Amino acid sequence: MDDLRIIEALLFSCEDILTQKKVDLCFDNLKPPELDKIVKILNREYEKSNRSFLIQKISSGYRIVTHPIYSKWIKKMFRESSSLSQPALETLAIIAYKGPVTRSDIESIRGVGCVGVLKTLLEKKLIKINGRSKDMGKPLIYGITNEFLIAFGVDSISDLPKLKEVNEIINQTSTI
Amino acid sequence: MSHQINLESFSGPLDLLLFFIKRDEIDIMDIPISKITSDYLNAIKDLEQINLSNAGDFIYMASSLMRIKAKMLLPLTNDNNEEEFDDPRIDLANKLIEYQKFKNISNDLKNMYTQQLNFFPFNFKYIQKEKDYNNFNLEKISLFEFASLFKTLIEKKPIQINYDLKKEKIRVKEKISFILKQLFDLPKIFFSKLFNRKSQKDDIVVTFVAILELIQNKRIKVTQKSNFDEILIEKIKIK
Repeated sequence: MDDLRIIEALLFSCEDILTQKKVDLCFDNLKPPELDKIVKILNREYEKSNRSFLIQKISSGYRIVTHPIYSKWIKKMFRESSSLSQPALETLAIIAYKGPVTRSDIESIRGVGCVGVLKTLLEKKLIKINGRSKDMGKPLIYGITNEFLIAFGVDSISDLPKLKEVNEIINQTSTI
Repeated sequence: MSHQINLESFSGPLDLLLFFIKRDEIDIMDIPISKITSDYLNAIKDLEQINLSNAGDFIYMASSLMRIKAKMLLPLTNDNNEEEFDDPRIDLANKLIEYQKFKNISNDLKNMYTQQLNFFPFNFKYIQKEKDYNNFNLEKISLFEFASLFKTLIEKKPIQINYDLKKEKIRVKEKISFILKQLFDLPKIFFSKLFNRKSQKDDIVVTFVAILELIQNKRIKVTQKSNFDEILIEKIKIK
C-alpha cells in the first residue's frame, strides 16, 4: 500500500485534526510515514491537478479543507454568519497575547465591562476557563483553545502576528 | 461643525478617545485635556437616551477626564527635581497606548478570522452540530459547558420546595414567663445565662424572640458594653 494514499484516506476520515501521533497509532508504530512530508507531496499533487481541496496545517496537525475560491458557493449552502464583533476580537486579542488572564485584566485594558463578551466567547469555545488565580477573590483565568487556533487558521499561538511594540505605536501616532 | 457621533460603534470609552486623537492628529503623550474632555462630554451627552450596556464605563471615563483636567489646573508640585513632575495625563496616555496595541492587533485577527472562514473542512456540518448544546460530546465537555447546562436545567424546572412543619416545641409565651421568673429572683441577668450548654438552636431563637417581645412591651431593658459583648438584661420596674 502506498503511504501517500493511506494518509490521504486518514485525512478524509479524520474527525478533526490529523496529528503525527494519530498516524503513528494507525500504523501500529510500524514505520509510520512522516506526516509533514506526505502532506507536502499531496498538496503539490492537488495543486497540479487543480483539485477543489487542499490540506491545511492547523493547531499542530492537518486537515483537509475546501479551497477558499469555492467558499462563495459553500457559504450560500450553509448560510453561516459567524462574524465576531469588535469587542469580541479585542477581548480575544488580549487573552491570546496576555493570557491566561482574569476578567479584570481584560477590563482594565479595554476600559469596559467584558462579562457578556466572555460568555459569548466561551460558548463559541474560542476561550476556556483555565482555573482560578491565586489573587484576592480567586478570579477565574481565561485562556485560548484549540478551536481558537483553528478559527484563526494558525498552527500555534506563536504563529499569530507579533504584537507591535509600544514605541512603534507612539511614533506612528505622533508622526501622523 | 461637528457631526453626530454614534456611540454604539465604539467598543468602549478608550476607543472613543482614540477616535478623537486620530481625528485631530493629537500626540498621545500630550493630549489637550480641556479640548478632549469637552469633545468627549459632547459625544456622550445623549448617553441616557441610548440603551448602552456599558454606559457606566463611558461615564466613569468622563469623570476621570474631568479629574485630570482639574489636576492640570493646580500648580505642579515638583519635589526638588524639576525634570520629574507627575503629569496627570500619564496614566491615561499609557492606558490608551496599551489599548491601541490590542485594538490594532484585533484588526489583524479579524482578517485572519474572515480568511479562515473561507476554508471548509470536510466535516464542517458535523463540527457545527457538535457545537450545538443538544449534541454534547461527553469527553470534550468543559467545566463551563457543564455549569451552563446545569444552569439551564435549573432555570427550566421550577424548584419544588417541601416544607417540613414540625409542631412548635418551645413557645414564646412560655419563654417570656420563664425570663420574667428569672428576673424576679435577680434584677439583672446575662443573656447567656438563660440557657445551658445543651440548649438547642430553636431554644436560643425563641429566647431571643421572647426578649424582643419583652423589650417592645417595655418590661425589660437590654444593654451591651460593646459589640459581641455579653448582653445584660434588666427588669424595668412598672410604675
